[in-house]
Amino acid sequence: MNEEMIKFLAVGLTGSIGLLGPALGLGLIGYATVTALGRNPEARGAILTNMILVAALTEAVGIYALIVSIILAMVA
Amino acid sequence: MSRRGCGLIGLVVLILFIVGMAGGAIGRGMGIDLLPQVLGVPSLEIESFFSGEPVFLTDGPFPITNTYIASWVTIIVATLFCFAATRKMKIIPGRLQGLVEMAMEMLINFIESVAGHKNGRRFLPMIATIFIFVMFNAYLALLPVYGPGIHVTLHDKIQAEETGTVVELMVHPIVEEKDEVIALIETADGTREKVKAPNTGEIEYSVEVDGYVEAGAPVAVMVGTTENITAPVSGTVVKLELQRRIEESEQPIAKIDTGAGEPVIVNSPKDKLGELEYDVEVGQAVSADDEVAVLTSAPPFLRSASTDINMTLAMALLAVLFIELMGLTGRGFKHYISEYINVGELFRGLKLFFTGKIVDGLMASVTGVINVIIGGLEFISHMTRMVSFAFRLFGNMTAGEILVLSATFLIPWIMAMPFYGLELLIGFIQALIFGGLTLVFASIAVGHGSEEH
Repeated sequence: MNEEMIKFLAVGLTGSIGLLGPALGLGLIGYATVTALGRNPEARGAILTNMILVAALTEAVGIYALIVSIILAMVA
Repeated sequence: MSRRGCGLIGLVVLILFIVGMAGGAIGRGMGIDLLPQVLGVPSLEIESFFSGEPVFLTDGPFPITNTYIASWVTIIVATLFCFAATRKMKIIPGRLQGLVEMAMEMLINFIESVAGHKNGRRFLPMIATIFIFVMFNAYLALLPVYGPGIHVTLHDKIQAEETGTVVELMVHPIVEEKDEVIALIETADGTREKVKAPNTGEIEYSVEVDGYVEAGAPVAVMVGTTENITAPVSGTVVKLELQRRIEESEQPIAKIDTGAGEPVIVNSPKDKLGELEYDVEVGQAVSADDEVAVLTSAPPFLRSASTDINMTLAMALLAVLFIELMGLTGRGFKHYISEYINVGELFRGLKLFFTGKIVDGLMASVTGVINVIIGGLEFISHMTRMVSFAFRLFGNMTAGEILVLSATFLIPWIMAMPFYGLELLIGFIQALIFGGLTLVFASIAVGHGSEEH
């Protein structure tokens, strides 16, 4: 277990585990959107607008994890 | 007709795919060494990852980075576009004017659908500016002129190929004219003295930046002789003007003695020029794949403005400032502040407590404390919006840039096409998100009060 191995492990694990959460979150958002559209197709505009909004907020968390792993890859 | 066209396009794509694969990294890995490898993925150092690289005025107080120039290009392009559309406006619009009118109408509809009719008009300038700026930044960055796409790697690590001891470092800073300034020394009273070289030739520095040197002590040595270039005054060395430069492809850089036979020569990479900085010294033992030197080539002239964290941070700051200002002016100063420092309930509870009604007073105080804590959390969440805005846009744009570069590096021409499409989509969505989120937060900030009362 030398230093370089641990460094690569850290970079990889940060990226993968950090991106699990937002991926699951986005899937849940998609599920809720499709369910809502199925029940009430007339409210399409409002549903889609809110979906994009919440999806962007969730995706931002994934970007934070990506930035952390890129910083780790560069600095360490 | 369309089947023949399809066949032709398919053939062109296939040819490009084969040529691209032969010339790119995958082909090189498989052993096909046909085309010169001009494109490499830049290994970005951390300073140039977050902000752009300085192009002009590098050492002054305000270096002009390539992202700064790109943001000005965006502003000029957007302004010219709208300027051209508003020349000779007609009631029945021509094509350009029609396009801009359609865009404005979509924007105002979007804003009014979220914020309501009255506030929509007020928010339009700021939100539309954010949207247009971010979108133009993202789309202009796809032009080939914007680096680091067409430039060779920015930082290239040159590795030793064999284990051994470094015998000689072969690249020296070169003095090209007589009396060329080679160093700047700052004396104790603040004046800067230039150190000039008496001859042309290669030199080797004996001091480092921020090191102290006495008058008469050597600043540099002419290589091959014992001729010293001495300092005229004593002081701290502020700057060493000459860098080691690599001027040819595959120039020898260092000699490593492996102990078996001739010393091995490490060359600079093929077709890459720039400045060199050594990471080893003479006499140091290196193993294979240790870093010997770093080659820095000239940074690209233009780079997408949203890949600069300073740019996105500035936009995020302005967006948060806008939201708070809208809240303050929309709902009155006192009312808005009382959302965050919500001590009304707490004071009421304490008053009840001290005037006798202990149980009521206690319960109201507890709710009061909870309200204060919630108010503080609200304030913190407002401030962290700055961080989230900045990093969301920066992360998406930089990740997209790195993605397109990596795809182009692997199989040039073909593999980058789907990623270009992704970049187009991401640019539009990020502009929508930044503007849309600012809009939503601003309308919440303005709307709370009118909903309650």
